[in-house]
Amino acid sequence: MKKKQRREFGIFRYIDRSSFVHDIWAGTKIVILTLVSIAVTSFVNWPTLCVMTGFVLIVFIFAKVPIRAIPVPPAWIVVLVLISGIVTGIEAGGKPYVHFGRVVVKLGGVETFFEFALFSLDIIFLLMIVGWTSKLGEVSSSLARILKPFKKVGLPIDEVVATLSLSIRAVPLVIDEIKTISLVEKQRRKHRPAFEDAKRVKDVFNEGIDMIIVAITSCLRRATEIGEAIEARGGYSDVVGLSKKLSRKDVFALFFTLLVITTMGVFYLVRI
Amino acid sequence: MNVKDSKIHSTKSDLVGMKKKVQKLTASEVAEAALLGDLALGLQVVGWLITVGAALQWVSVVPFALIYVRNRLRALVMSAVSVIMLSFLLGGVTLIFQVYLAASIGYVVGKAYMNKKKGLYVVVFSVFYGALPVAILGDLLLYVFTNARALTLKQFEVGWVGLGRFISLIGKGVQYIGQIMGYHKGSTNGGLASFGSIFNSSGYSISKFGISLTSPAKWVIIHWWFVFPLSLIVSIMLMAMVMNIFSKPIVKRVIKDFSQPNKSMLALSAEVGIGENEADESKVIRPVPLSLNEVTFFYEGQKSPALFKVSLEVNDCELIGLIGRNGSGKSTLGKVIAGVKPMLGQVIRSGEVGLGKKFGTSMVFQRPESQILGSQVEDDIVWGLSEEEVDKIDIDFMLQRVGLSGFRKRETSKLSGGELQRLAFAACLARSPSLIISDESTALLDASGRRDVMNLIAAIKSENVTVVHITHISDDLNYLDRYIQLSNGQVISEGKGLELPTATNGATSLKGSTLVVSAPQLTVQDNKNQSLPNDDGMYEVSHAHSINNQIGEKILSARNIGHVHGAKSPWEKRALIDINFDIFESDGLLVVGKNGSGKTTLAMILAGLLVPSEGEIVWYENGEKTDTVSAALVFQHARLQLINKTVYDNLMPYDKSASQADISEVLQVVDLDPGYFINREISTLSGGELRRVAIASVLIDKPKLIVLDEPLAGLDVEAARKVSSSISALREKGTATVVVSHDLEYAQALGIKVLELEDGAVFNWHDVKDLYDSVSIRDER
Repeated sequence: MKKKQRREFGIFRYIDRSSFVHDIWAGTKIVILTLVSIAVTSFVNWPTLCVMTGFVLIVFIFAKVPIRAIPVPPAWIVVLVLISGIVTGIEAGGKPYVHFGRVVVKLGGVETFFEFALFSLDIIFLLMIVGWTSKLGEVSSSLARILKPFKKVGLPIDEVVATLSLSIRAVPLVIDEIKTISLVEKQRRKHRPAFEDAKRVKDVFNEGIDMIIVAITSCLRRATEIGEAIEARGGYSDVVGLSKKLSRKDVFALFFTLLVITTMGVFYLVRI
Repeated sequence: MNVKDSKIHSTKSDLVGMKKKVQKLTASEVAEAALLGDLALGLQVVGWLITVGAALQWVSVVPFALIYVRNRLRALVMSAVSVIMLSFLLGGVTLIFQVYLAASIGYVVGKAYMNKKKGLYVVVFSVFYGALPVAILGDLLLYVFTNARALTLKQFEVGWVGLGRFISLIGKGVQYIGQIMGYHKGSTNGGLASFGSIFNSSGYSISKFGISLTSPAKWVIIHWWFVFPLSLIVSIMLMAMVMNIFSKPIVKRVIKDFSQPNKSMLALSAEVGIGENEADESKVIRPVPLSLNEVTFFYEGQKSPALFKVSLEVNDCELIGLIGRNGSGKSTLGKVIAGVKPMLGQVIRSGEVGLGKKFGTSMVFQRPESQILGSQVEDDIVWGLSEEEVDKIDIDFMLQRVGLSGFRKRETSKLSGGELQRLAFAACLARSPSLIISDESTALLDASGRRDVMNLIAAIKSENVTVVHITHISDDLNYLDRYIQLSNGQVISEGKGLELPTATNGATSLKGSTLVVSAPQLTVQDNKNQSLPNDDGMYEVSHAHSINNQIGEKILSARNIGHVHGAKSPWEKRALIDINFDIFESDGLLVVGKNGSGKTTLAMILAGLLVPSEGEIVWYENGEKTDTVSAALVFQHARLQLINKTVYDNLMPYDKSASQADISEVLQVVDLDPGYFINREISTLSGGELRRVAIASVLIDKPKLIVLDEPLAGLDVEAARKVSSSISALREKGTATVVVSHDLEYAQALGIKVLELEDGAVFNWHDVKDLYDSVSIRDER
């Protein structure tokens, strides 16, 4: 009866702390994230990855986010991935060779495996830190700010920003809805017959369709109401959001990021 | 059919229109693009997290298809662009590609649906719009980022070659074992020897197979620019085929349910208004004073007019109430005042209506969460304002005016209904309107929220703003300068505030409702000590809270229930601590408390949908402990609980175990006429009827306990009364009920014993009768 509770984790779930990273404007964080990701993708090799990892760790420390926030997949998955990575890596071979007495282990494949893993994890981890330290609501207004200059080029930024800010606003509503539907399904599951004959499989399939339709109709109904509310406010012609001046912390963070990127670039060119 | 045809037609004319001048998205198109886009993204993310999720990721094509079918390509593009930006933050580059693929296939599926094209069309164009761009862009990225490409391909090679060699190694091992066995050939054991040779040969072929795996890997790595697009195209072709089959019935049904064009009356009038504005800019915005002369309004397809020869005047700085029952035409009248053109009669104004404009008209609607447009409080206030206007606004002052000081950076999704409504008023005030139309803004609030909003309205009026307050709640009358009462689209009485409308047909309901509005207040300090559960002995505690007078059989006891959400994570939050009680047959427990006091968590635990992290719920049958949980939850959002099309389908359990008679019986319990309701479609039911059908749908299993989460939230007075009497009917039939509510108006019908929670702990136990003794309240009937 009693099930072990899985530790919760959060994609873009704010952790309420006061820290240097929390104080940086969400827009700055998004810019930094984009720049660093592009840099590491262009320069990736061992030295640059080490610089990147160092950067991510520094950001993590200054974000004062508890280690418990990091989502850990079930142990068996980690073990499986590690073992398969190491086994296939050893079998694939390649330099460097390590000698244990008579036995020669060719570590090239293992090296590649870890390099690749570190490369993926670094970017994901940085993404998660941004999520833990910024409120989704703040992201919406900062994206509006970032996109605003593109209006001069003639892009329909008003519509993009209006849609984007509304969709960010509606995220909690939609999450709530999906949660409720999954609970409803859980309650109804008691009666679900086993997947024995084809007709019942079809019933279950139809039930699935019904659930999607319910989610969609509920979204549409809400959209109608929201549309009316927009009209009542005189349309969305100018979704500008509040202006935001960059603080010293933002400038420092941007400066530090540029420094890190330059270091990566140097390491890449010198190829130590 | 007709709908579909007209849709095609309108799309074509849209396209023609677009060539002339690109039309910006309308408000409802933006809203639909945002909401359905969110749903698609939600399906994608959930698909990532759960094991069978791949199917859900495919399903996310459907919302995109629907955006296209119901609106324009432009709406779909905007939706895709904003969802892609959002998905970059949620899941990085991979999610971007997935969302793009879903949106592009959605476009093709939608187009095929409207033009009645075959599956082949979908497959071909999905490749063209979906797979090809991604393939080309992907190749380009791989080409540009040389190092990342080299690393990815190297890892691919390591994985593949390594696997091949590993298999080959196993083969060699098997071969070796076989050879060892073979050494015994000459000896007595012939069987072992023959096994040995089988091992030998099979090991040899496994090893061969392993090695053979490694050679294509090298080929793939050299020809990555070709293999990557090819595999993408093949998988997209498969996906498109499946999606075409899958999405057709969904799109068809949703289109049928939402056959009316989504444009609200307000949207139409706003468009007209914009046109007029452009014609003569000089016209001043001045919505009041205003006079209506014999205004008549028809809705399409309705026999009787919504408004018939209504005449009235609205002056500067007054607080007018439009009152009447549901369907009396009061909301329509509000919309005419807001600028919707009537069919007949005159509307004489001093200037332009100026909906949402400075010194113009502002509106506050019924549903709190769907009229708040910003994610943070401050964003909501400035939403839609121009840059110059934003610079001039003192947000802190606006918030102070509506009593939300210090809420500036709060997230709107965490506010209560009353707070949201006050925020909606703040957003109105930011436009310094001269007329505010409050369309049932108090209808969905509890008593205290309603008081706050009415006080606010009165304060706004005293600042020289005219307020038209539409309501069916008679307590609101106390705040009004005067009221106009409507029935069947006609004015039946007028009067000053405070004095009640005379007894006519429409008024009886109003009189009825006056009796329920003075909600009892929980007086907590007085009897707190005497009714707190004592710490010794489970039996005593449960005895103290055995809830019914004529005790039936005990069905469950909650023992030291506690729950922590997100245990051991940074989001850890205690929801419940040490809750004890027993529930008997025909029992009624009413759980009350503020937002976030743990009510809903307790409801989920009792219904068996959540395993508590501490303590347990023990179920009894004939006095013996049992493992069978016999409980069901009626969700707050009843529409989501009734997932099938008709009432009958929803009442019939999954395994078709109920008979027609069973279904009629449960409908009668909730006081719905089976003959009339059994074949009704869910989408045609009113809010109160939905709730009652939801109750019936869990009743069909004959559970011993029915848990209802906020069963009266969002219902008008009449519907709330009917639902609450259905709940007390459940208890008369022997079912125990647990009702979670923050509203005490109907406490008598909702429970027998009241459990008040605060911060997850038992704050107090009350008897419903005590609640009513302390407050003088007249009987409802």
